[in-house]
Amino acid sequence: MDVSYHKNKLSLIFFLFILICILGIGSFVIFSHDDQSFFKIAVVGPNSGKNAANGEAMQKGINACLRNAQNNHDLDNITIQVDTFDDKNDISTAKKIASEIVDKQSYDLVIGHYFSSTSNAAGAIYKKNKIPAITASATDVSLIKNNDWYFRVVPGNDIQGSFIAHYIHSILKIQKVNIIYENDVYGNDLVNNFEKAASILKMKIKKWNISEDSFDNIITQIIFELQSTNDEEAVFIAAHADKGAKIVSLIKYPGATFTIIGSDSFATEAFLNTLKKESSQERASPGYHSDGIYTVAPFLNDVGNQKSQYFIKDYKKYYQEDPSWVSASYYDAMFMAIQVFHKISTEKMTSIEERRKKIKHHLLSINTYDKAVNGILGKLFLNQYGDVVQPYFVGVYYDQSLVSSLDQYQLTSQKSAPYEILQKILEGKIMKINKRLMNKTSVIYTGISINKISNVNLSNNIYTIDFYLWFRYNKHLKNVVDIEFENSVSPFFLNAETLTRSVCVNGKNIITVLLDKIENNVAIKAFRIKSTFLNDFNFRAFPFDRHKLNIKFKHRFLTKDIIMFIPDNLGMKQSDLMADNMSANRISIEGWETNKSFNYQSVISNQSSLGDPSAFQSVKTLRYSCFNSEVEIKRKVFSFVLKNLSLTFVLIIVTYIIYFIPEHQFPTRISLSMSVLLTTAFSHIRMTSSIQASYLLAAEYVFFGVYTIAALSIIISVFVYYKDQVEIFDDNIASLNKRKLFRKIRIIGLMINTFIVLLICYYISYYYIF
Amino acid sequence: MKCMIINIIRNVCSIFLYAFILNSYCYADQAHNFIRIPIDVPLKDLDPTFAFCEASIELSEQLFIGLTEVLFNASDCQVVPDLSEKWTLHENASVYRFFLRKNVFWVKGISGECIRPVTAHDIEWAIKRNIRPETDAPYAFALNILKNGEEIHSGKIKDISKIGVKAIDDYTVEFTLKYPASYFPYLLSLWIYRPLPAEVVSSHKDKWTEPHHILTNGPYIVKKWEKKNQIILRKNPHYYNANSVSLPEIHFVIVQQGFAGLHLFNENKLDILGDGFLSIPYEKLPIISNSEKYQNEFVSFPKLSGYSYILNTLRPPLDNVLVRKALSLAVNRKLLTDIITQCNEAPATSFTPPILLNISKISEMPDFGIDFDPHQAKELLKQSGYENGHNCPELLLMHPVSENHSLIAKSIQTFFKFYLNIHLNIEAKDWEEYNKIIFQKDRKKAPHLTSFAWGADYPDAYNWLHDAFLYSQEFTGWNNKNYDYLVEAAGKDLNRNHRNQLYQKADNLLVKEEVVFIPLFFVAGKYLIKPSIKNHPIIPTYGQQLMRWQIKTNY
Repeated sequence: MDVSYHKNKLSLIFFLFILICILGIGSFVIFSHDDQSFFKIAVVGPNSGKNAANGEAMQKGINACLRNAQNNHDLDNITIQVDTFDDKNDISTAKKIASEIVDKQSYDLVIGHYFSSTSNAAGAIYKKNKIPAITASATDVSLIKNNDWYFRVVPGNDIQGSFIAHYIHSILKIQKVNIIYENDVYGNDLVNNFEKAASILKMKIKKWNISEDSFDNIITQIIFELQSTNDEEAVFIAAHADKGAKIVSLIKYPGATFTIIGSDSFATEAFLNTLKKESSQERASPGYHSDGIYTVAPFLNDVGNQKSQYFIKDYKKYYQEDPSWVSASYYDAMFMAIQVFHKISTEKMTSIEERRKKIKHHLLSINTYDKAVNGILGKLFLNQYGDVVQPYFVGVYYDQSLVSSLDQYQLTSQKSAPYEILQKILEGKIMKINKRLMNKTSVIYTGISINKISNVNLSNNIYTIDFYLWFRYNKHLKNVVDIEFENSVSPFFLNAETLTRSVCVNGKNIITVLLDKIENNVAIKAFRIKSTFLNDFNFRAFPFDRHKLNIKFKHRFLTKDIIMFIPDNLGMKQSDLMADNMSANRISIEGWETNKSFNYQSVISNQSSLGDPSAFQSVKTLRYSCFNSEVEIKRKVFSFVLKNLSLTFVLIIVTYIIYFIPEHQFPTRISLSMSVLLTTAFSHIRMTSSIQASYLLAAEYVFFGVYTIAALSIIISVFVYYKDQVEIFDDNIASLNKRKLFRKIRIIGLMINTFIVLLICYYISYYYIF
Repeated sequence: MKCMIINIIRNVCSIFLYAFILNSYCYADQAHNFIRIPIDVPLKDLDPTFAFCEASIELSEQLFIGLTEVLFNASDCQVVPDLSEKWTLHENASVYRFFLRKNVFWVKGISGECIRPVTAHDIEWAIKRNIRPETDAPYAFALNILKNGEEIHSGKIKDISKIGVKAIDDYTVEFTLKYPASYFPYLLSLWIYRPLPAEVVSSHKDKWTEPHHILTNGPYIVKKWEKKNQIILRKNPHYYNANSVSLPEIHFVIVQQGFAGLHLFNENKLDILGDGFLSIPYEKLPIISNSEKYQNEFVSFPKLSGYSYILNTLRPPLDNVLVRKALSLAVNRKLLTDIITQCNEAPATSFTPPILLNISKISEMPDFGIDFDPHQAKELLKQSGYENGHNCPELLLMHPVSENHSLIAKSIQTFFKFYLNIHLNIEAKDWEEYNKIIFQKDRKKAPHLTSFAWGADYPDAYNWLHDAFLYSQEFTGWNNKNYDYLVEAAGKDLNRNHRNQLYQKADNLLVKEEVVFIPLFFVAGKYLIKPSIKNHPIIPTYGQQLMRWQIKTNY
């Protein structure tokens, strides 16, 4: 007996062991990501000293990228270790750190350095030791051209210097420029490239080299000259943020007749911080010096695409501040690195040298628009030197905020006849820099303020929104307000007809003209609109689903290279504040939580030959700037679950209870199991009938789980009944063994039951909640 | 049994042999020791006398050498002895005496048999043959500089022996010129001056260049000639400078269309494509020159070839030099080459290519040439009484029918309108009508402007400022004694620096002071060359010196 008992016990343990092993291996296969490649990155920037703000911005951008990659499961198959080094923006420290990175023999990639000077110094060491590096801020031309191991995700000084010269000439229409520059790699490189372009454009330039010794004298002289001239002049300052801010605080004052345009360092946090530190006027009256200063940047918060708007949102959430272009560009540097790591993670490599070589190779292979990395700066692809092919954005300071200028340039392909392009170049509508054609694009500041959302009908995917819509743009632009709403239920246009009077279109859309005025060369038009819109709701995560109620429109015929709708963040901030004061629940919907509206620009593309025979072979792609305003709604899960799934939870408990009903009570066990099954089926049908979806919903997995455990309990009941009734146990020992067997079966049933419940919980929470 | 073993061994050997041959063939396709060059016409013969089209010039250059050759570098070109060892000047540069190398031989095609040395008599005989009117040599005009050359060629003098060339002995030849000419050694590099084997030409007449008859003296000899397919040249083992010939063989493949050539190049069946070696299709050039795919294969360089507009100075308002100058100053040449021509053409601020004036950097010579200056252009127009184009008559530009001409004309129209508010009418005519209209006698009815393209026949500024100028003068109607003096004086001046200064002054007069020409751009040569060719010095005129090219052996 003992032997038999032990045998049974051993069998049970063995059986459980096998079961756990199978489940464990299954779970491992399904959920584990153990086959991971490990990559080590050295991030080098100024984490201390006077440029620490830039180092901090770099770090924040990189962290934001890693956080986003984690959330998007981009790091499931790779592990990235990031080590931070402080080069203090100092050449000798940069060299020392580069040597340290080389000595450690474990870093796959370097991200940084911040300055051109430090990048050049360290770059020589990386080149010698064949370590790939990506900078997103050092803009010296030779850094990338002369170093095949250095890559860059922001355009270099050759583009920047030339771009600024063209902008002053063609947009600001100023022919006389004073250049104030720092005598270092950054300043000299920018000025050389500015001069080259200015000479072709026949602009008159005067250069002022700022050094520590002669700083005060030269500034005095500049102030004197600027004040004594009646000509319209521009001042181009090619200096780092701290020096640039100091110069601005000395020469710029409200009402100055000259226009200042600064290099990309002016678009950093460090510039404003120093300016505030240097000038009490700027602190007391924000914008005293900074208002009206132009600067260029590879990224501006309001011009970006959907991805960049999500980046800004996430950044603000974590750091309670707006990101500068430095954070954005280092986000993209990290993003590009992750993309490359993914590509090489499947390749077999034996040594760190081989890994670095592969990284370099894959970075260089990102060399066409089709292979571009979709970053927040835009579509990033590199030329043969490893330099990015991107235009700059022009921003102008207003109330210490950098907003995009009304005139921007964007890369365009040469589709028109060459002499037409020539004509446009002469008119300033196109510029050509480094073989790249850039088209003048007018910015239409667009604001939406939602008054009310009503009639949300999930089964028909429609909702009604009452909102204010306004546009602000250069008064010289024609036909701006001729837009079509892409997702309105009935065709809905806003055009010249609606500008003259309030209309009711199709009896459903109501448009009221609120404002139509021109002030300081800027046209402003505002409307109140009420209409019903349509969106494809996705219920896969039901009842943990979130939906976007959006308004989406584009111009009817002006393409993205002519106009772009960008969110009027300043205007909407004011509008939100006022609205928040008036009513906190203006866009509340019963049963749903609502977030603030989220606005961004996207692109709608149409491919068509337009019937032009010459275009039959190479079909034209028409790209339109599309403005999107989204309100995200999230189901109030607790009340929903309480209302709709509480019965299911009770049924799950019932399936547990079934195991404790004596074996001979077969009808009771079976009827209870069948009741669970049928009740679940009714609940399931009732729930799915309210949602029009052909795919599986998250909630359905709960039902499938309950079906499984109900079915299991039926099978076990039948089995136990069979054992109890059919097999004959004619002695006590046999009876004892039978009870032991039933107990084991009950335990196994309960375990499987629990396992299924846990598995469903894990699956739903992993895929739909977190 | 023995038979079976032998059979097995035989079969195994056959398999190995077959594999070896197959492998060799495959390898040969990748690692050939010759280059494959396209030419666009199946040639009738290889006679340098009749070399005119680019293909025939390229072949003549490989097969025949002349008394001199021109070496080019980035900023200069120099004439050096080739068939000759040296030369001397007499009678103030109107008599040139050349001393020939004794180790240059006539070598038979296919067999490579060395027949006899090349002598001064071969040169004298060739020139006398080429100057005859009945020979109808296309470059015979280049012989006009020789004493009585023009008269013999035009038939005024029948006695050929009166021409200014004479073999003093077997290895000395003397040229007597019509007037002293410092540039004469450059002229001698032309194929019309190359020696010919008199006995072979006389006996085989127009068949003398057939592979079994032809005798050549250059770095290569004819190995095989399939008339409609290809011409294969191989290294001449008796060439006097055989050690410097790197390429053992050259295959000239006949491909008549540019797009077919590009296809073959992409399929790795040609090693080079472009210009004299079959032009790259024009419509593909902007894509190729900006493409990552071709970045290691696309080569472009400045050629001795320019594109200008010439002005009818006899028709108002272009009879006013201020208006002419305003027009030239209003042309943004940088933009023109960047946007319109797009293939690395160099903006031209002078009529003559700077390299021929010994100028390496135009930017270092602010007083030379004419550049874009819209402010000054407006000012000059104002001074001429047409402020902002007001009351200025519409101008007429005429060019032969061609897409390129049309594109450039529209651009110039855009510049004139934008900067000066002057309207330019453009008319394109077929060649015959075009010639009739632009050269009509009533110069006040002839168009105001027309296009003028010129490629160097020989690399000396005289070819531009004299030969090209004379050609243009019929349209411009412009005469200037000072200009004539400068060009003639430069042509005779033996001091190179002084000569260049005179040429520079003449060019300035033409484009900056009197503005008879509006120089637009210098044409760029455009080639696609496989990376397997490791050294390919390209010269900016016709007749590439392929013997200096090298192929990677381990490619």
